[in-house]
Order: sequence, then structure tokens, then C-alpha cells
Amino acid sequence: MLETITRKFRTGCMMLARRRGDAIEFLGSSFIVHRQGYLLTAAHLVGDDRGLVVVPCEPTDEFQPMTSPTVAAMPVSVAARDADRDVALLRIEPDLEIGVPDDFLGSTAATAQGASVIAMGYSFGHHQVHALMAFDAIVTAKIRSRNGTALILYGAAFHEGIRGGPLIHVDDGHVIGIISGRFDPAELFPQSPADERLVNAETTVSYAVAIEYGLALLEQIPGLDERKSSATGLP
Amino acid sequence: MPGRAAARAREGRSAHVSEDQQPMTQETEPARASRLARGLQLDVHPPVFFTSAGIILAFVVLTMFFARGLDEIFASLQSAISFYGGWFLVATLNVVLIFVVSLLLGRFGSIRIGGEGAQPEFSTAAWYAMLFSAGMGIGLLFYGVAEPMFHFSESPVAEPGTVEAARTAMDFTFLHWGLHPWALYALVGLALAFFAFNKGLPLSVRSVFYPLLGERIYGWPGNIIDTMATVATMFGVATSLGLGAQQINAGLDHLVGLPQGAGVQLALIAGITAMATWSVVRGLDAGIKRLSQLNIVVAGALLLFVLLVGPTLFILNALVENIGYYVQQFAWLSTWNETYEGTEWQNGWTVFYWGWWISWSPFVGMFIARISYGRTVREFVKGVLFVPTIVTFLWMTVFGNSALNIEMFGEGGIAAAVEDNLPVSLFVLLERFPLDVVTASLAVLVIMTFFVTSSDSASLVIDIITAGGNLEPPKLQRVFWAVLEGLVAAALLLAGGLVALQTAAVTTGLPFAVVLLGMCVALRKGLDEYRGGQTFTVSSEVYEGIELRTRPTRSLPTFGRRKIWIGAATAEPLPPRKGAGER
Repeated sequence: MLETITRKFRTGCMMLARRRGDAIEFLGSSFIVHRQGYLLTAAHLVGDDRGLVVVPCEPTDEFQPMTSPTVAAMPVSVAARDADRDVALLRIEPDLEIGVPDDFLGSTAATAQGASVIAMGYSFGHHQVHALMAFDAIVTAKIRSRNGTALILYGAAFHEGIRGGPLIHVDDGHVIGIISGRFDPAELFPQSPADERLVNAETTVSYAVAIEYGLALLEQIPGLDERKSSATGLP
Repeated sequence: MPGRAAARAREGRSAHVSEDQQPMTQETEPARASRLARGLQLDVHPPVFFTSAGIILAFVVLTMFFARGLDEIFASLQSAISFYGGWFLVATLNVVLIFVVSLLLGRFGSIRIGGEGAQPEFSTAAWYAMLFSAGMGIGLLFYGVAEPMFHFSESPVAEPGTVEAARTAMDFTFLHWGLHPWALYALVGLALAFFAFNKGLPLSVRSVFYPLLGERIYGWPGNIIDTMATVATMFGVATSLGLGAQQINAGLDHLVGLPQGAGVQLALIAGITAMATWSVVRGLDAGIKRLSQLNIVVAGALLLFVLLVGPTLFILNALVENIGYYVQQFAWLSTWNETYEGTEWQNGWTVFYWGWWISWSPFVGMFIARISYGRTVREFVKGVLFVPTIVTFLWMTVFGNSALNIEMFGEGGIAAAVEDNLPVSLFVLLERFPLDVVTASLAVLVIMTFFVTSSDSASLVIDIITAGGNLEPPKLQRVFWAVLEGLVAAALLLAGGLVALQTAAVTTGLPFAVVLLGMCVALRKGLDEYRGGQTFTVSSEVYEGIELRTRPTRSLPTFGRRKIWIGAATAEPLPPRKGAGER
């Protein structure tokens, strides 16, 4: 099951980077959410549009070189962002033919504590390791952050490059969150006096913001063609 | 979902047949038929519409023409089909049941019809009520008393008239009205719903075969499948209408002394078909829907009346014991083929029922599909398989065991009356209770209403299939099919009464059984692909990307405190998650 789901999502996961001359500066991860070239990522990775690119991975089960000296990048623009929820919607500029599975967008309502999840992203992209990585975990908790953002905490080690990658519900095969950072309880008490010693909390817990915030950005885009349902009611 | 279907689905055209059809018509239709259809302002898929209508009309004309002497031909046809194909129907029903139960237990249970976030259109209670009303209708009234009594006095496995005969009589009745037919409806309903609402294909039987046939569903293989579904539905429903006409006739005979015979029954069919047609023409769909809800209430009242006025304690005891015996004997009974007895008892019963339910399955399946948007596969199978089965068991026990009680411990006489004239059985039972004029009148009214609503909605289903999946085809077509249903029922009654009706169901059910087996494979494949088999694709043919060098990050950007960790704690609700149909 873990294998099937990883295979389902890996072509949808792309590196996010910024172009500097003839080179790229790695920023994090992103993933396709719509066949018209839309991707989601974490808003804090994206300052402005200038030179933003994404790099798809080669889907293969063969052993891969750890690093590539060059990559084929595609320019993207920021279509919408919600900094309060730390999500950004990107759009691939060139007109590409993109296919998405019929069923891959989930909801956090259908995600319970203890659910099996996979976190995907380019965990070591900052270190020039261009392999897509997958980690399994369970949902540790569902909490709201200080500004009320719904977060899914999951028990997998955090590495910088995975920011912006998808958190996937294994049983349903749906993406349920956008990976945002390492969970640090100290974030809750920013004004703690320096002399007040907090218990050290070096966590191995990560968090993702609920996919609903990302989908809400997608809803704002005018002219998106969605598949219509045949359901029109009873005879 | 590769290729053209995917493109159509993506462009949101799949629900709209006039556009969706073009590839089909360009590839396969005879140009003349198309011109004719346009001339008549019809919206049909010509190969399916004209072939089905041709087959059915030819049947009606030939039957009317050779009416005399056809009963023997029908009898031998039924006997031959049952003799050679009976085992296949028995096997198919079991395969379908096992497949449907596997969906309940397997990993596809959480797939939601209409996609993640799709909301059910009806409350669960309303959904249950609709499921039940869809499946059986007239048959319950026709066979509720008749079948247990018949098996009691002519048991194939026990000494007739004994305790064992009574027990097995109820068991056979439960077999014929229990999990097997509902598994069929669940299969067809789920397959239609999944491929229409999750995959965006037209709401038609051919769509189910997309995983096996691919684009060929738009060509002749799809046309054959839809034609088979149309013809099966037509004869399945006509069988019910024929039974209904016989029973209304028997009821009116009982009430006002109207003689029983083909002439009166033809007049009844004509009259009630005219009512159904009138309701179609006047667009009384909303009224029909209310009428069918009212009908369920009246039927429920009838059930309650017999339960309370009849041998209540005996019925309640029997309900528990019947279910227990059904469960205990399940494997044996559902695979029993008369192999060692060498008899042909099943032909008129089990094999007939299996054929009849199969021929009803496109009709009921389509209805169930349309009311089940937003349910998960697990909810769907649980709801369709178990709830109506339990209600049917209750119905059969109340009517069947009341009759058995009179026969075994009371004054008797019902079995003899049933053997003499099957359609009269319900009225013979009601006669034993007070207010029989009222209850018999209500029963006749319920059968008439079932007749009208079945004819009305069956003509819509046939119309949708023969219009290539258009959910709102022109009314003229529906009138055509409603009239044709009446004509087929009349022709069958004229040609041989009950045997002809049963032959029609078995004859069209048998070939459609092959379609159902294919449907199991196709649905399994479709669900499997949906759950994990598909992946993202990015074509590099159009755009190869800009070749850029890579380098390690020198200094990690400092992200600062992100806004999610700033501000006072609030708990705004999440943005609503919408289903595929609502976006």
C-alpha cells in the first residue's frame, strides 16, 4: 500500500527553486493539484515571483545518482497565496500536458489521529541531493496554531527541503496537507522572558497545514475547468 | 483515464449527451437513422434506440400475429433455457453476491461516490426508503402470499404440507427475495454510479466497461451492451406489469365480480399505461414521486394491519426463525441445482427469479445510482444489500406466515386457492381478516400505483440508455417507451399468460448475466486504478525545460516567525471541501 501510494504521487512532486543566472537556488518542495498546471507549496518559501522555477523528478525504481549537475526547470508564477495559513498556489508558465489521477485530493475531516501517512519531498535539496524522499508516519495530533490554522502533526523527522511537499493519507490515497515545518512548542510562547527556562523540546514531530486552505486558493482561480458530475437528481 | 474519454470528461461534456455523442454517431451510426431522428426532434443514440425498438416491436407484432398456440412454444422455450442455462444463472448470482460482499470488506470501502467531499443528496432514512421502493414493487404483492403457499403445498425438498415443508417454503422465498437480488442491484448501481460520478462517463451501462474496452465503449461493443440492457429492462418491467394486470384483475373479481381473463387484463393494461403516459406527457414527475412515497406508506399500513390483526406472535416467532434458517441453509440453498433430484422444479421459480432480477437490474441499478451520490462504497453496499433485504424478509414473513398459520393451524383453504389461481392469493388471505373490502381495495390501489410508477420510471431509464446517457431526453421518446412497455406486457399476456411472462424474463436475463460477470471484472479494475493505479503525468514533448546548474544552498533563508504562530488563538472553521459535482 505504501509503495502504491508513493508511486502514485511521486511524479506530482517537484523541486521549488529560484533561478540565479544559469544556476538554481533550491527553496523546497511543491506538488501538482490541478491538471492546468497548478501546484501547492508553503507560502513562506516564496518571497516574490522573480525567477521561480519547479523541477520535476524522473519516476523510476532504479538506483538514481545522488545529485545532478544540471536540471531541466520550468518557470512558475504565484497564482494566489494565503500567508496567514502558509500556503501558496503556483502556476507553471509553459503550456504543458499534465495528467492527474481521478482521485487524489482529500480532506482533513476524513483524517483521524493515528492514521497512516506518507510525507514526500526533496528533503536534502539544500545539500544538492536531488532524490525525492518518502517517509512514513502516523498522524500524531490535529491541532490549531495560534492564529487558528488547522495543522496535522505527524511523527517523522524533519529536514529543511521537505517544506512545501504533500502529506498523504495512505488508506485513502489522498493528499491531506502541505508540509510546513518542524513542530516546536516554544513557538506558542514567543514572549517568554529570557530567564524563564523552558523544558527543552527537540522534537522529531513535523506539521502540515490542512489541504483545505490550499484548495480554497484553487477555488479562487476563475475559469478552472472542473469535471462536471452527471448527478442531476431523481427522475 | 487516458484518451478521448478523459478529454471529454475534463472538458465537462460527459454529462451532456448531445455533445458527448458526436464521436459515437460519427463512427457508427447509419446516416439515414440519424436523419430520421433529427426529423422527429428526437435526441437518441440511433444504433441503440433503433435496434432495441426494432427488436421489441418485432416481438410485439409477431406475438400478436401468432397469438394462438404460442403458449406451448413459450413453455418449451422457458424449459429449454432453464434446463441448459439454469446452472449458469445460479452461478452468476452467487459470484455477484461474493463480489459485492468483497467490496464491503475490501480496501475500496472508503471510496466516495462523486469523489472526496461529495455530499449525499438525501438523508439516510429517506435513502433507505427509496432503495426499498425501487427494487420490488408489484412482485411483493403478487408473490407475498402466493410463493410460500405454493412451496408449502408443492415442496421440492420436503413432504408437502408438513412442518418441514413450511420451514423450507419460507427459506425458498427468502432465497428468491433476499441477498442475491440485492447484490445484483448493488453491483449495477455501484458500477453505474462510480463510472458516471467519479470517472465522468455518460450514465449508461456501456460506461461500466471502460476499463476493459477503453474507447471501444463508444463503438459497436458499447452499442450491443446498451441494447442488451434496454431489451432486458423492457421485458423485465413488462413481466411485472403483466403480473400486476393479472393481480388487479383478480382483485377486482374478488371485489366486484369482474371476470378474470385476457380481455379484461388487456383493457387494464391499456388503461393504466394510458395513465402512466398521461403523467409523462403532463410532466407529473414530481407528482409521481409523491405518489410513490404515498404508496410505500399505504403498503406499510397494509403490512402493519396484517401483522396486528393476523397471528402476531406466530409472525414474530417465524421472523426470527426464518432468518436463522436462511443463514443456516444459505450455502446449500443458494447453490442447489436439482442435480441429484433430476427434477425441473427450479425452472419456474429460482431460475425465473434470477432471470427476472437480472433483467430488472439496469432499471433498479440506474435508479439506485442516481440516489446514492455522496455515499461511500461501504455505506452503499451495506445500505443496498442489507436494509431492503431485511424489510423484504419482514414483508414475506408477515404475509407468508399469516397464510401458513391459517393453513397449518386454522381452517385452511388458502393453498388450494393459490394453486388454482396464483394472482388471487393476496385477496384470499385478506378475506380472512376484518375490513377485507377496505384492505383489498387498498391492495388493488397499491398495485395500480406501483404499475404507474414502475412504467413511468422504467420508461425514463430506457430513455436515458437509448439516448446515450442524456439525463433529460425529450418527452416524446419516453411516451414511446411507456406505450411499448404496455404493448409488450399485453402481447405476453395474450400469448401465454404467466408462462410467457416468465419466459420473457428468463430469456432476456440469461444473456445479460454475461454482461454482469464482465461488470464485476470491470468495476474491480476501475476501482483498483482509481485507488492507486493512476499517477501524475507531465509531458515533456511540448516543453523540455530550461537547463540550469545546481549548487548547494550557501545560507538557509531565515524564515522568521510565520503568521500561523502569531496572534490570538482563534478557531475559524476550515474552508468547505466540495465534491466533484459541486465545484
